[in-house]
Amino acid sequence: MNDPYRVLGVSPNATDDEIKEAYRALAKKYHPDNYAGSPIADLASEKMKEVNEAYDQITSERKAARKRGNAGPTGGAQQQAYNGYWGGAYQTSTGFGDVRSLIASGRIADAEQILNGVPTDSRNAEWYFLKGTVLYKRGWLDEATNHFSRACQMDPGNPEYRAAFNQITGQRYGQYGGYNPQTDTMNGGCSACDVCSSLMIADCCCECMGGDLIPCC
Amino acid sequence: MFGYIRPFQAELKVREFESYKAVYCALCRHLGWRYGALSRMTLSYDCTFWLLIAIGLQAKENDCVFCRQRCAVNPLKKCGHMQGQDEAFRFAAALSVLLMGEKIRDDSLDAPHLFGRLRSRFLLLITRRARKKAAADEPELAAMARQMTDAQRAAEQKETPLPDECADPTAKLLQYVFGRAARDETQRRILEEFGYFLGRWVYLMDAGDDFEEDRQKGDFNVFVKKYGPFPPGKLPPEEEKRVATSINELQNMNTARIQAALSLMPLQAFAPVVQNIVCLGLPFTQRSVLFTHTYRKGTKIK
Repeated sequence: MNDPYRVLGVSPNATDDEIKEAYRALAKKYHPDNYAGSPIADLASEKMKEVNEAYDQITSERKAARKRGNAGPTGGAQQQAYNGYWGGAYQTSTGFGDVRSLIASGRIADAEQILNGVPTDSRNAEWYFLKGTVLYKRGWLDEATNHFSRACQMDPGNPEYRAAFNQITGQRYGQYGGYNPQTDTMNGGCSACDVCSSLMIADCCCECMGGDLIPCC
Repeated sequence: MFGYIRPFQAELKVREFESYKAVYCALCRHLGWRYGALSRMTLSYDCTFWLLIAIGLQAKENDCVFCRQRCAVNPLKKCGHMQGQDEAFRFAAALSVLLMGEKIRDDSLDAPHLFGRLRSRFLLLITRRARKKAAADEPELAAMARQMTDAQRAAEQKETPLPDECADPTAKLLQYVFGRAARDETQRRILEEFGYFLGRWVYLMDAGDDFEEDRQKGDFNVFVKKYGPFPPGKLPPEEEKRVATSINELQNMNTARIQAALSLMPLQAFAPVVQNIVCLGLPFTQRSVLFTHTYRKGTKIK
């Protein structure tokens, strides 16, 4: 196995807190939520496993060193299989078991062919959800959004469809990177004009209350 | 379609920015060597970005050698040039020439006025040698690029074109282009995902940038089709905001997938610059194109 410190990107002299911080940053980076429905999700989960193992190894080694060879149980990272919403956590499958297994095995084109063969009047919420999943995998994100939203409209109580729709909505609003006009941090501070006018307003406010911020005016 | 992928300079270290410029200048030099002085005009930040990733995946930081040389365009100026990595530069130079060639060809096909047609014809004529040489150097890439232009024209001529459908050809081309930078199968999968969404992002950004102009001139624009029809004259600000917000949301989904793919990329050099371009540069372009309207095509990074 690789050097666990190198996996976490910290020096072997790093403090426990630094290691924890590095671990958290990496765990956030490779979190399955970032890769749900993506064709490279397996690579991310491998990476996540590597990070977890490295963190476990470091913590257990350090504990052992502290207790002088009396190794305690591994603390910290829990290695539980996280499936995201595509992993079958809810699986309210009805008539599309074959399509689901095709998607799970990565045969997107076959899955889409079957879905397209379903006549328009018998397309239910699950059909829209699965078609959305296929489109999402292919990268047709706009259409995927439409299909997920349709699935949620047709079956509002279904947690699986809701989770997929929420995930894609989070992406739209820039939760996973991108630009959000509501929380703009790219202004580069305020201009000299802003500073002067703010000071003048503050001065006026002070003068109203009987004080004075800028004595000369 | 060029120049949207650029770094957010305020957050770059001087050292990182110098290395970025060294790659940019070296690409210019390679273009001049291979395809003649005129092909330097095709130099773009997008091809530089490809180079950063291709070189970053195979070279260690210490292998990157920069050498101060005189600028070919402005001999009074001296700037750093990256040395070595000929294979990557060869591909990037061909890519640059072929992409520009396809753009000129595409323009020549749908230029509405006689003057526009004459201009494209003239450009096609004077770039003929460079385009031929690049196509001979990278036949597969040339075929892909041509296929992309044709597929895009076909998608845009449909009755109700979907943004996803129109962006697909560009996305597929960049998927191939980035796949070429891979050193093994795992990297290829990551890079292809990365390239696909970057291609989508570039196409949709271009469409978002041209939205207002195309709407007024009545030219094709996938967003005019999607959010229209619009009344003639100036758009009310709230309507403009609505369109900009929708396009931005679509772009955010692409950036999310691009960033996720980048996290898995084992870059050994240029990692901070690439990180800056993806996590800050792309969102900043979205902001300046869609909201503040401060983006100007072809402006240089100083």
